[in-house]
Amino acid sequence: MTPAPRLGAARLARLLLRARLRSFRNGLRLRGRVRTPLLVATAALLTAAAYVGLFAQSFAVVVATVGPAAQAAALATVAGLVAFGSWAAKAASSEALRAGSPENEFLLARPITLGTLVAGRGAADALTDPMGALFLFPVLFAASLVWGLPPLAWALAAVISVLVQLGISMLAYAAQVALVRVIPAAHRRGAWVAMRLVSALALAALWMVGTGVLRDPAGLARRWGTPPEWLRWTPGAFIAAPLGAWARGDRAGVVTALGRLALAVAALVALAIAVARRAGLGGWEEAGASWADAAAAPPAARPITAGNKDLRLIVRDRTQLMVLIAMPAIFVGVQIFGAAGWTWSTASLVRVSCLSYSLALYMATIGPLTHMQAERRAFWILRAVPVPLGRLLAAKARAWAAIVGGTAAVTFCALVLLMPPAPWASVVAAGVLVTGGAAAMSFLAVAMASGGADLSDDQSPAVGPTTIYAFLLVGGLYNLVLTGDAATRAAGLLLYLFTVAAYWRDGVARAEICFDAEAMRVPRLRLADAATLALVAALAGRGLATAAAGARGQALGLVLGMGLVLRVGLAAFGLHLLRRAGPAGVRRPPAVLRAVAASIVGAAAGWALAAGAGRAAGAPWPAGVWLGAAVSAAADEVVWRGVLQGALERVAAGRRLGPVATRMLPAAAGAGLAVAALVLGGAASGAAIAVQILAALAAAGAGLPGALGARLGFLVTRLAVGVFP
Amino acid sequence: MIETAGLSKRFGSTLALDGLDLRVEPGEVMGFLGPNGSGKTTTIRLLMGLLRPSAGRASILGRDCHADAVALKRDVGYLPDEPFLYPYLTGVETLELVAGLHGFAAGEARRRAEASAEQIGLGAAARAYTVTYSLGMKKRLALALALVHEPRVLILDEPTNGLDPAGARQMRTAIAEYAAGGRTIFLSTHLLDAAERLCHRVAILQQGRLRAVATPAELRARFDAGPETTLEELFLRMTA
Repeated sequence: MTPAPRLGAARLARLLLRARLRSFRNGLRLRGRVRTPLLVATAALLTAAAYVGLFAQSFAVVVATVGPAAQAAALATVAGLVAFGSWAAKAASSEALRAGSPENEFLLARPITLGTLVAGRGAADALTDPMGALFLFPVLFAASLVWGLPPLAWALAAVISVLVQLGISMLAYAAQVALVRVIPAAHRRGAWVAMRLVSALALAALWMVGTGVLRDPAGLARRWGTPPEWLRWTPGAFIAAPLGAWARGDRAGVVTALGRLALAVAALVALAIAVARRAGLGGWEEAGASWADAAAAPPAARPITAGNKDLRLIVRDRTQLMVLIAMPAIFVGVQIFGAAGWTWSTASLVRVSCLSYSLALYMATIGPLTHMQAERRAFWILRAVPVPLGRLLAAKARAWAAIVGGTAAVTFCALVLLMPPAPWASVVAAGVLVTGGAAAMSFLAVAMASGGADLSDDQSPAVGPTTIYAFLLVGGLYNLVLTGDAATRAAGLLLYLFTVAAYWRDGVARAEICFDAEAMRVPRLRLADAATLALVAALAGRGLATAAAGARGQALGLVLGMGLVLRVGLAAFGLHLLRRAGPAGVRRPPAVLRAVAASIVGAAAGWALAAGAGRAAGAPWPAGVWLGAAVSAAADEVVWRGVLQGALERVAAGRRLGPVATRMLPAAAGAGLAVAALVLGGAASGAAIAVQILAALAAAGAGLPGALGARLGFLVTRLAVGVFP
Repeated sequence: MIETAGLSKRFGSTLALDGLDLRVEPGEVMGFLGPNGSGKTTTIRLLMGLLRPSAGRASILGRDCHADAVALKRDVGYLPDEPFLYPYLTGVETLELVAGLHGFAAGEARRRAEASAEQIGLGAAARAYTVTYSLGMKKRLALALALVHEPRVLILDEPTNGLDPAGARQMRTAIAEYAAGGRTIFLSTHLLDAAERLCHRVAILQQGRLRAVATPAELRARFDAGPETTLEELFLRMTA
């Protein structure tokens, strides 16, 4: 056999690059997995485009305010911070630190040196990791746009971005490898946690500077009115120099600056290879061995239960513990206080409540929401014991509620001491709402993670981004309960608690089948989906009502139009849920007959209520408005009666209640929630409440067509007698 | 061919391998047996240069396993216990990647990938993503990855672990065919009947120490056992 040539770093990088691109392409092609990568790619592109727009806007102010030297200094500051954030995030990733990771072992089993592995992987990372390019390239590109540089400069911005990513990758590897060699095995995890904290702090600092630049670009420009000498020697200055030289019309300067940057990157590549070679001689490749993470045997403790298991694991897993505490503190504490200021953040009871709750929300996102990821292969243990899964999950949620709720309570108490005095009753009520809401978030997190978990495939994460975003959305909406008046709080709380209960019910049910991909794919109308849709509809109604209150003329028309589009969009999603769920299984007369019959009842009710009301003042409303009102009413019916009441009926049907209770209990619950939504939107008039009750009863008797008929019959009669509000 | 002298490996306070002296002759199939945690995988990782010995040395084909690990891997194929595969590469793409990692040019890497896939009988699955593979197919692909550069020595870490009877038989057949070509094979396994059929000699490791190196017949003689005594019985007697 002819001996194959020696594999160099460039060749390894090329092979890895090709494999990763193929892997990405194949992932897109694989049936059922297309959506997520496409969404991620689209979101990344949109984010990058948004960054270009935002930074271009701010940089234009800088360019209009100060001279070329200060402009370059401002660009160097931002670019340097972006590069530092990217480096910190990359260095804090565990992939290279754990040299015995499966991929590294796969590669090291081939004729490749450690130095080649580090250089090859670093180079491949530089080109395939979108995070760096997502942040740095938009900044450089925006600067070249604002400076009015030709398209060739955009290519230069791309070259600089790739060079910088290469340097960042190499420096991150060198830092990781050096850190592993210097820190004894027993303390490596602690060192890694420290790296992650540095990374989080760097990103928080980036956030603060980023918001500062966007808020007050002229301030940043003026600060660098006369750039200090040391700034010229920062990495940011190296990054910004080629474009800065081009903006000054200094072509030779462009070449020199680019060459200087390339040389610096080459030095970093050499440094990483040298560090890896040196570390390899000392056995760095063993860094991922399981013994490296082993800790001393834990002391004897109380018997472990499903409730305290997660807590005990966290206490033993210091990485997780630190992340659980430090990340929320950094992201909420540093970012909010850093960006908004201490005085602003503690200025009122409402702000203190929101801040304390937000901290707990982040903690719940990192803690209980990821519990299914931690369970993963161990989940079969919970499924195999003779205890109802609901009880086990409840024990888990209670344990987390103690931590998350406790954190919220402690934060709230500490911040309350620092805020201006407020009535004790208000403070206690706010504290109860914050703590209770945070504790409920733990239940919601456990429920959502259980409901969204897919353990049938070892390759995909147990809890996907959709679940995380849904959690943050529902959790974030609790802020309404914290900030509103008494009626709003009551209505919001009702909707929120119903949503948590719905997620809990569905989460436990889904956790029963999370190992079974086929069972999970069976479409069904989940109460949790219905609750989320209703919650979003309620809050959209509130938002639109707020917008409409201050609008006049064309602006009011625009708000109403937006409201109509939003309602139709929500109804379309509701119809999608209904179609996915299939028929309810209740035998009823033809839909047209039900609709006509219910419309007569609705018309009669409308006439009866209109009899006591006066006619509306002013000119009759145009036909378009009436049509809009009808469409809006129909859309509301799809959401509240079709989806929400329909889902409640399906739950009731499973409870083996009597036929009347199976229809009437969901109608009562659905109507109650719809009225709560009206309260949130400030539209809870007698007629509005009556129409909700009428539609709920019509839906109980005649299904969605009946509800639509009753609602439209009611509306038409009201229009005919001229009392439409 | 494969030689270890006083090879030891310490993980913290645990001595995982304690002064292993072993010699595997060219063309020999050596069974490497031992209870769980006896140090088999540690030995294999030391042979592959993935771990650094705490004491002693190991060499394959006269090359030091640690100091000359890169050159060594040109002549050694390795099948790990739990092989890593890129989930969204096909079997052929994975083979092509590994052939490339062994330094073959793109065309040659492609040719070898196709040939290896065919040789190992991946069939139509060679064009499927590895995320869709069963454990048996993953192991077969991993064996093909170990063979793609036509190594002179093959190191297999529990290749039949987790396979169903049909899969285990296919794997044994593939190993036997490879052994028939006169290649040296170092085979760690828990399947003692397979070891008895495939291996010229077996080495038995317990708590990091070598308890015996012999042919099954020699082991029987050592324990005064008759020909009806299986290797399993001998193994259990020795490691009890």
